[in-house]
Amino acid sequence: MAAETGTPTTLTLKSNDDELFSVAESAAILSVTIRNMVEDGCAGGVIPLDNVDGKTLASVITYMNGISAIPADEEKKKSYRDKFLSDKDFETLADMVLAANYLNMSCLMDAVSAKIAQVMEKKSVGWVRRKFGIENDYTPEEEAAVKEEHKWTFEGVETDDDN
Amino acid sequence: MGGTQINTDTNLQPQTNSCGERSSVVDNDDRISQLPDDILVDILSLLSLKEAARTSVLSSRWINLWKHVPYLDFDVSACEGHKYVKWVNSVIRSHKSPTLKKLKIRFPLDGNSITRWLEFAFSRHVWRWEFDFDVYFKDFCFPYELLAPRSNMVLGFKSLKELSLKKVNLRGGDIELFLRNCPLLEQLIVHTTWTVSKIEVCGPSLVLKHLEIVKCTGLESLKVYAPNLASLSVTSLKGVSLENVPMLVDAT
Repeated sequence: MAAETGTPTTLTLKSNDDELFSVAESAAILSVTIRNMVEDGCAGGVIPLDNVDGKTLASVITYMNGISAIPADEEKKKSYRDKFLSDKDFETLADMVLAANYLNMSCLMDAVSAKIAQVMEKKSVGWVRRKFGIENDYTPEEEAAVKEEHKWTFEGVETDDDN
Repeated sequence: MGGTQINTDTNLQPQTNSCGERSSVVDNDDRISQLPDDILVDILSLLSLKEAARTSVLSSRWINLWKHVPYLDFDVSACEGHKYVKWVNSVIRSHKSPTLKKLKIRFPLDGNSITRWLEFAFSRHVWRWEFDFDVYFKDFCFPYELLAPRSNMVLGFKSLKELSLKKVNLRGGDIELFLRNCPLLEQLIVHTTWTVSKIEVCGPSLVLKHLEIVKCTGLESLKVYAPNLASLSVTSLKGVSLENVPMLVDAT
């Protein structure tokens, strides 16, 4: 492998909508899925990533390049991750968490999960439903029963929003 | 608006949220509910237990997700004794995760409830277990029959990595019993106990890395023989003897 000769190896990744991306192997192996392919010697040609679209893959590669350029400093990595995710809407975050899950990238997966959890934190049921467009499929009777069963989750709780 | 108690949520009339956005700014195709269970459970694991469980009211998709969260932290901020017991019991009854990464219980309670909760914790192969009794609870002793070789709970202890006992009434030999039965234990914290005079943290195969023995006022002798120990924190060095601790870098 070129890593042994000192030349940086570049991998070609293909999204499920047939976009091709070049990425340094050293950055791409942040994904355990890709790392396993490299170790098994099946990363020679184009690596097809059937569960990731081009838009999301471009974003994930930006992250891979950005985070792998930072030396081993957890604080700096964390602030890079926060900044990277700060302008992403939920739609993008959802795509990203699915991609991170498929690519087995725990650092990105944890950061995106934390970001989504942060949005839900200290918010009422009504707010969360509206924010994420969650359709309430309970009948009024069912909802009342679920609320009664989980009454303790509403006790002593203050939320940041109106209801 | 801070400080508002949650009331009914069925009113879905358009209104502004806390950021002043119109609620029309929503993701109408409900992407979040389409995420796989394990990702949603990961997200819920980052919320408090109450917040995670409250999501069951969102829609039928969410009703059981929180029951798979492997962290149970029963924080006590607004709960009285009998209500606390009822609360913990009801959560434990509905909880479904086959393993438990953390169980934290803090409250002085009756021994029967605690025994039941312990059985629950160890039937789920708990990794991290914290007991913090707000008040020293002299009537409760750890139900050691759970550690008996024929007890079906013994296997559950094998997963324990972190154990924290605060204001728990311990007997001489209790700590040693845990060390013998929890081969993966990496962190042991014993805080505020009066009744133990001698502790021996000894064994060539101990994987223990962090040991904290704090405010154990009756303690006269602490012997440590732990090849993997990296940090040790004790209130007083009186009676402390250290042997074979090559990894120790931080002692306070």
